[in-house]
Amino acid sequence: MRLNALLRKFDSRMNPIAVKELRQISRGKFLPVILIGFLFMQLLVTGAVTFSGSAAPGPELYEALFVWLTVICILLIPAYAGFRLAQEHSDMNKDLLFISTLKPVSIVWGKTLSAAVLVALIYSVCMPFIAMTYILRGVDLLSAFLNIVLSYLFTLTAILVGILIGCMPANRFIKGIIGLLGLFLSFFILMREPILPRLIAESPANMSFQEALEAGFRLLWIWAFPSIGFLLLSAAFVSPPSANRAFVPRVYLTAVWAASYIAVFVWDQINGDFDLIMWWFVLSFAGFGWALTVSVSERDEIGLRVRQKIPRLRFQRAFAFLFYSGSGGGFLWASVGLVMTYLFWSCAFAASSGGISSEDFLDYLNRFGFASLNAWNAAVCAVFIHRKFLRNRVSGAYTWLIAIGVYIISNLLWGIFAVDSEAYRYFDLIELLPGIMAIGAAWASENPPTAAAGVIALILGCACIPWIARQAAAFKPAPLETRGTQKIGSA
Amino acid sequence: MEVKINRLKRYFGLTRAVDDISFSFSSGEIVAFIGSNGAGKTTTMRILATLDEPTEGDVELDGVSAVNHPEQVRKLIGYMPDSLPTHRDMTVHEYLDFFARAYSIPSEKRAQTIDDVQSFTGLGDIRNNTLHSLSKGMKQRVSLGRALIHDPPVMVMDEPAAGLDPRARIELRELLRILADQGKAILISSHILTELSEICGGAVIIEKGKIAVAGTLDEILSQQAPQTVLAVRPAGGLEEARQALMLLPNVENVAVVGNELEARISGGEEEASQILSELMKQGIQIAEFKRRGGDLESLFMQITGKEDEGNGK
Repeated sequence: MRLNALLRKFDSRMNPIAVKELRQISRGKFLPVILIGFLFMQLLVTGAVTFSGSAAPGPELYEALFVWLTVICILLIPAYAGFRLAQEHSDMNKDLLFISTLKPVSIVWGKTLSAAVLVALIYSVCMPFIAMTYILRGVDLLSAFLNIVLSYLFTLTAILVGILIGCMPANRFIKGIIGLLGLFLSFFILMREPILPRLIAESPANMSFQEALEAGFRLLWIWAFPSIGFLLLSAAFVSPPSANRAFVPRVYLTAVWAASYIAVFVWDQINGDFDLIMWWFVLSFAGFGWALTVSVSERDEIGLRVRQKIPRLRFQRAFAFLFYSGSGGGFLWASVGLVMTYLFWSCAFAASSGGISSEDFLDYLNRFGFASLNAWNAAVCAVFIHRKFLRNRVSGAYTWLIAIGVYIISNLLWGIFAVDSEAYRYFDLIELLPGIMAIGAAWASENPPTAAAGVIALILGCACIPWIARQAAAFKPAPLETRGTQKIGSA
Repeated sequence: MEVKINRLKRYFGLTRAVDDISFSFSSGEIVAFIGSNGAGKTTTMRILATLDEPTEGDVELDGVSAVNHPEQVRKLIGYMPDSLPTHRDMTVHEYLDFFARAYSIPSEKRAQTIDDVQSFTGLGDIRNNTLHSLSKGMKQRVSLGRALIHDPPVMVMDEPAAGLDPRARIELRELLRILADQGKAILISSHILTELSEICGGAVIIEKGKIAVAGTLDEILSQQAPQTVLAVRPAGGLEEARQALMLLPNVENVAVVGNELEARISGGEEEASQILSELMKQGIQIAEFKRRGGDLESLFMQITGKEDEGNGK
């Protein structure tokens, strides 16, 4: 009886989306095809390595299997999860599950969970072959286990990215491009991040406590924080437009940004290692840069539901304006975040003993400053283009696409007219991380026209003051309207 | 439960799909939502179901706004869309089970609820069939079952009878009557107007996003039909009776339909009784004389015809 009650309780708490997805997966053709495909692939790889006459078949086979497993799981499963969600959540054809009483986080979590189970199944198919590499010698169990855990964790992040792209307001073509771009950037992040190749190449058992701590910290940063962020962002996209859906992602981003700054600052003070501060700076630059474009896609007029939650005290209301849904407040929040990032980064540079040289600092400041100003200008231009010319033709949710278009065009124009083409050069990979926002920085010359971009930003800033002021003035609770209706008669 | 649609507008770019419509209906009522293709019925229903957001206006269910509190409204509405469930690799039972879970029906009640819905909609025998193997009529039943799974007080049904065979239509009509008797407020759209007039108490006719007529069926039929149609079956010669009818005042048109004469007259009951006595005076033997009420079909044609004339078509 007790077991039955326990099972019933467990059944009640199971995520409905996960149950549905797993039922569909188990009944469909995708799972058997992919599992059998994996088995054949592993047999081929194992056969090729075993009969190649290698001196160290264990590590060689392990590396081959591990790379195949990771790459295919990071590519295939997120694309599958994202595609399924995009099919169910297109603008014109929303699945009825989105009008059930399921919470947006539950929907996203259920999709993630089912994809995670699918990945676990694929990993389980690989396990006998991975175990064989140990039998062949040259592979230590702890490293093998840790690598597989890491690879699994990063596959989960990739799934969350796939789901996030699936929820975005864009057509399939644009979602596909964003997916490819995300993949490209993720690849560079992983290759740039030294802890992963080290973990793969070396035995973690040989790491000192400090090295393990650093590794854990970096993992938290490049895995846990972004993953939670992707989950919250996806949930925000799935939430009803009238909800205060920007609130949680903005609070989360701000909290992670502030907490991680404190952590990297303290780390630098103790160890004299400025590298983590540079990571913090680049990721914050990327985060707020993207936030600028996303925020202008929000609504100018907030609904009753958001207004009902606006605090009455003026000071609290000012903060709420930055964090609550609404394009003006969101744009201001991202702008403040970007400025504060430069300010804090400069403070950390001044306080650091083992930081970068002054020349390098100014060079970074100049190029990233140029890219930030360009991104800011593009976002403001997109607001004007949409609100003045396209308001009745294109949904405001697509303003971010206009902003990206303007950003790319403006960078091309800078390249043609304002930058010495002889001085063009690609910068190291760290500047590619922020994605589209860094295109400007990567393409800028050694002396980008930051001052000119600043002047344009100043002009555009003045022009957009009425847009923000109008929204700030309307940011207060409003009474309910009563309207007449025609009563239809009896049955 | 009262459903109020308040000055609802939905624009897609420059197209005004729904243009300032307001009406309301309550528990136990079945209201027909009628209009040509592209009139704005589905858009309105999608807004009611919280699948879409209005450009302006709101929908309220006992004061709960569908725009501001869609999560609360979702508990109260059962929406049956015009598209059929197409989830691949899912059985009927799994589909209903998923939605029962999605509406947070606890596991101890879930099995019973699904059984009840399956038996009410006649899905018990096909519970283990996959959705894509079902006929259109069966899919409609699954769709109805899904909409009923959380026992909502309001049902919004978009073309539920489309593609159903006559037997299935009759069964659907009976199901709707039972649901209305249970106290559910039902808004139903269909192109089969004769069926709607048999089950609906009220109707809203929408044309090009605007309400053309709305009210109880009796109200709108009497308001909108200044002409009365009389069915006359003479005991004697049909042609003789037709000639006599044609010459009488208030008679506008007489047509022969089978062994009957169908006369359109201006006016109502009084004029009809005068015509009957005139015929009797002239010695025309009458076997059957009845006044035909206006019907939704002719009313709809009349309204959409007016719209077309107004547009110079």
